[in-house]
Amino acid sequence: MNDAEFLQLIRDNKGILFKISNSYCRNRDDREDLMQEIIYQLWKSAGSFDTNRKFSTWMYRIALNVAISYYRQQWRSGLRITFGGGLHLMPLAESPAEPDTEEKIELLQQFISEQNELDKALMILYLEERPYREIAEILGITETNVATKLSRIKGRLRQHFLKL
Amino acid sequence: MDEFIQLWKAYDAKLEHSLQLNLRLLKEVQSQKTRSVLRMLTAGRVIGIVIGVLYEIILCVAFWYVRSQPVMAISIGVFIVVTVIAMGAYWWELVLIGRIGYADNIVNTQEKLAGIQSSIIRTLRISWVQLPFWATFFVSNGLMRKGGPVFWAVEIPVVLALTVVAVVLFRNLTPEKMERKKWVRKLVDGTGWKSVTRAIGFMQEIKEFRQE
Repeated sequence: MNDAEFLQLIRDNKGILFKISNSYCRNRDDREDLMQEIIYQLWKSAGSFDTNRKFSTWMYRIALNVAISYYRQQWRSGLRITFGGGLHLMPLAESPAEPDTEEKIELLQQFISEQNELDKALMILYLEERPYREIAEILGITETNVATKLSRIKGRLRQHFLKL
Repeated sequence: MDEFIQLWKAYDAKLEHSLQLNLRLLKEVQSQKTRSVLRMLTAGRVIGIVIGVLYEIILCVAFWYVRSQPVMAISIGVFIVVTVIAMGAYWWELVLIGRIGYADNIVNTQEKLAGIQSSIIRTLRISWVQLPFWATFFVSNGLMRKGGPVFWAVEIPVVLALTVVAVVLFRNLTPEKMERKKWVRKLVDGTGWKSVTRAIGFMQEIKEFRQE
């Protein structure tokens, strides 16, 4: 994969990278740092990407692994790690949705942020509509395990929405 | 379609993506990149090895000077061996860090990372073996001859007490015991190694996540 192809793939998938960063970091500066870290690690690993394999599986693995490690590192040190610079990689603006939808999105984000690191990854992949087989491949667990865990998480999510 | 997936799509529409990424910015990101998790883990081990080598040189010089004084020589010899083992452990961890790739599946990668973060406890455990020798490394032939009853009345209980502490810590400072024994966790947390207990906790979470 050459640089131009890589940049195009990142542009095509920037939405999911934003959402992963948002799900693992609530603070805007942290999110920006995490986004930079994900893009950097994707670029660094691009040379070893096997073009016969699915790009999305590779991208989700790296992005989620980086996000979980970053989140754990922040939590461990209790410090914010700043890389400096101002690339402004995060969305410049968010257009408000309908008030009712806005509230539900907020509730969904809140639920995701309350999950542990691994359940959070599972939840994101489910919301991204990845097939169970791919989710299992990305996470490194069996398809049956994916189905069982998702059913439990969805149950908890419904309960969470009943508060609305 | 699932209402939650619809909401997630609405969230995506809400974000006005504006990623202005080009090759120059990508190179800038690379040049700013200095503190990733893997780099920090690597840096910790490299610093440990460098300090270990310097310490080892000092110990070897000291050993040369006291080689005719058995108690001092044995004590310093133990320090040398323990330091070599600790450096070997750090070296092995560097090899393991080099094998970690973010493109591997999440459970495997995170388990390896947490394993390395918690492995410092094994190195610490070996280090406790040398504890009683800190009370003997200065005991020269002359001191043994001329120390008198007061010296031995202090020296023997101190060495015995340190031996008991070393044995207890060596037997208990393991990730497995930390999962089971609260006092071991408290001790490790209290000495500023909270990251170790958290890494061990995370490994437990990974184990549960794997189970169906």
